[in-house]
Amino acid sequence: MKQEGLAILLILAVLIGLPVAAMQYEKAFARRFTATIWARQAERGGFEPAEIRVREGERVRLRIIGDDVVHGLAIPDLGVTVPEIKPGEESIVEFTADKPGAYPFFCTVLCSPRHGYMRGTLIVEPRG
Amino acid sequence: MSTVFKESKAPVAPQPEARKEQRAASVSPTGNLDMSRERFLGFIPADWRLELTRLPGMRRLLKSRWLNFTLFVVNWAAFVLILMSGVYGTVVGNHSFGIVFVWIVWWSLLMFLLLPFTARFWCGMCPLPTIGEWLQRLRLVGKSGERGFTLNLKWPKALRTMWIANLAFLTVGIFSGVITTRPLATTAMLGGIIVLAVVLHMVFEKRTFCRYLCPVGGFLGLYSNFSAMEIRRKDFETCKGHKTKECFVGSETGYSCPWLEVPMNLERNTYCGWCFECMRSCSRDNMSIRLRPFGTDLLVDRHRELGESWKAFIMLGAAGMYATTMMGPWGTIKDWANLTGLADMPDFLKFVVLFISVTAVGLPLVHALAAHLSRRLALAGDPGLADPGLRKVFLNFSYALVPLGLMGWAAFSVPIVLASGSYALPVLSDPFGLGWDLFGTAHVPWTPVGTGLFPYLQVPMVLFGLAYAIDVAAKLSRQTFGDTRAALAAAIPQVIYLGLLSVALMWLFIG
Repeated sequence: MKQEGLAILLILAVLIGLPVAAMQYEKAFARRFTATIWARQAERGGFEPAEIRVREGERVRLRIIGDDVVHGLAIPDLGVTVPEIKPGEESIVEFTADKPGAYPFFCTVLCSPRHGYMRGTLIVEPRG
Repeated sequence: MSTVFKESKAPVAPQPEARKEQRAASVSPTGNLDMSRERFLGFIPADWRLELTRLPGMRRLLKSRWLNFTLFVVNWAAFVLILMSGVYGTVVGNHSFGIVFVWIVWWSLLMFLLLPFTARFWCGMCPLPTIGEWLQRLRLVGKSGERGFTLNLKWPKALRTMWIANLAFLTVGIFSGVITTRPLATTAMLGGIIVLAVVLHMVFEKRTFCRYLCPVGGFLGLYSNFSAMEIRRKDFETCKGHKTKECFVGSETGYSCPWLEVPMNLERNTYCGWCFECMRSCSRDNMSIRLRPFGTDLLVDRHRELGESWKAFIMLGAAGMYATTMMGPWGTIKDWANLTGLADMPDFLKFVVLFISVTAVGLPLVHALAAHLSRRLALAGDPGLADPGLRKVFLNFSYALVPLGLMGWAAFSVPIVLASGSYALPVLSDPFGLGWDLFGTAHVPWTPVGTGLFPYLQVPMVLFGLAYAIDVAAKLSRQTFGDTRAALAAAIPQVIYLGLLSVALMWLFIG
C-alpha cells in the first residue's frame, strides 16, 4: 500500500499540482507589470482590458500579448509606440505617466476590416 | 457502484475461446507461406528474430509494475499542459504547447520512431485511458483482484471490428484543419476522448475503449503489423505444458490481458497494447519482446477483416488529403477545410464530401478494380486454380497498402518536423504564450532546417514503402493463389496499382 500511496501522490502532483503551479507562476509573473493587455482583432474583442488606470508619476510597464495577427500599439499623447506585437509573443513597453488625463491608445497595424475599432484608454489619475 | 470485475487467482482451465486459439496455433498462421524460406526485399529472412528480453535487466524492467506508471506520469504532465494550453493562454497555434507538442512532436515521434519500431508502445504509455483503468482496478500501480468501478460488460460481438475506430478517425480527420491549428479544438478533442474513455471503462471490461473505439488506436493497430518489434511467447511447448495460462487469466503479479487477447497465442501486433501484463503474469517467463523484419504480421492470414482494409484505405487517402490541404498549392481546398464558423459550413461540407470520397470510397473502388484484375489474370493463367473469390483477394491485397501508407505518413511528416520542429523550444519555456521564459529558450527563433532536403528524404521514404508494398503484395499473391505462375500474374495489377499510388503521393509531396 505504500507504493500505492506514492503513486497517488505522484499523480495528484501532476494532475492538480502542475496546473496550480502554472497559474501561481503566471500570477507572480504578471505582478512584474502594471498591466497585461491582450491584443486581439476588434472582431474578437480588441484590446483587453481596454481601460488601464495608473497613477501620476508612476513608472508604467505594460505587457502586451498578441493573440491572433500582428498588431501594434501607440499612445500618441505620451509618445509611446510599439511598432509590432507578434502573434503568440509578448511586447513590453515602459514609460512614466507624468501628466494626469485620459489617453487613447490604438492599434497601429491594419489588422482586420474593423481595425479602426481596436482602441483603448490609459487613464493617469492625479497624485493624491 | 458495485462491479463484477475480478481476477481469477486459482488455476483455471482456458476458456473455450482460448482452447480454440490453442488449436489454431498448431497450424501455420501464414498458411502456405513457409516463413523459414521467405525473404523480405529478397534478402531479409522473414523468420529472423532477436530476443530483446535477454538483454541484462530488460525482463526485470518490463516486469516492474512501475514501468508503465512512470511513463503515464510523464505523459500526464505533458497532457496537463496540453489540455491547459487550449483554455489558458494564447490561441496562436505555434506558440501553444498543445498544438506544438501534439501535432509536431508527438506525431513525428509516432511516425518516425514509435510506430515503425516499437509497435503499440505508445498505447502502453498513453494517458487517455488511465483514469478509467485505475477506476476499474482501484489501483494505480499495484495488482489487485478487488472490485472496481465498472459494470465489466462485454463489448457486443457484432461490433468487435475496426469499423468504429475507422469512423472515429474519419471524424477527427475531417476536422483536422481545425484541430491541428486551434489550441481549444485540440483540448476539446483530447478532453472528450478522456471523458469517453472513463465512461466506457466504467461500463465495459478492460481496454474495450482502446481496442474498438479509440481513433488513434485503429491505425496504430494496423500499422503496428509492419513494426520491427513484437511481443510473443517464446516457446509453445512451455505454454502447452502450463495449465494455468496466467497470461490469459492473470496471476498474483499481473493482470489478465487488458486488451482481451490470449497473449500466448499472439500472431499479430494489431491488438497488443504493450502494457507488459503478460510479462508480469507469466511465472515461467515465457513471453518475450523480439526484433524482427518489418512487415512480418502482414503475412499472417488470420483475423484479417474488411474493417482493417478500410483502415488502410482511409490512412493512405488521408495522407494524400492532408498533403493536399496543408502543403499543396490549392487555396480553395484549404479554405474548404478551414472551418471558422457556421458561415463556412457549405464549403466545409464540400471538404467532407471530398475527404470521404477519396479515403473511404474512391480508394477502395480502385483497390477493388486492382483485386478484380488480379483474380481475372490468375484464373485465366490457370483454369484449374481454385477461385479464392473477390472478397478474399480484395481483403488480402489490402494489407500491402500498409508499408506504403506508413512510409507515406512518414514522408508527409518530414516537412512538419524539419520546418516546424523548432517551435518546440520556445514553447517549452513559454507553454501558454504568456511571455514566460522558464528555461531560457522562449526567444529561440523559428528555424526551419533542411528545407532543401525535403524531396531527397520524402522520395526515398515513399520508394522504400513502395518496394516493401510490392514485396508484401507478391507474397500475399502466393498466399492467395498458391505458389504458382497464377500468383505471379495476379501480382502484376497490384504492382501497377501500388506504383500509381506512389507516384500520386510523390507528386503531392514534391509537386
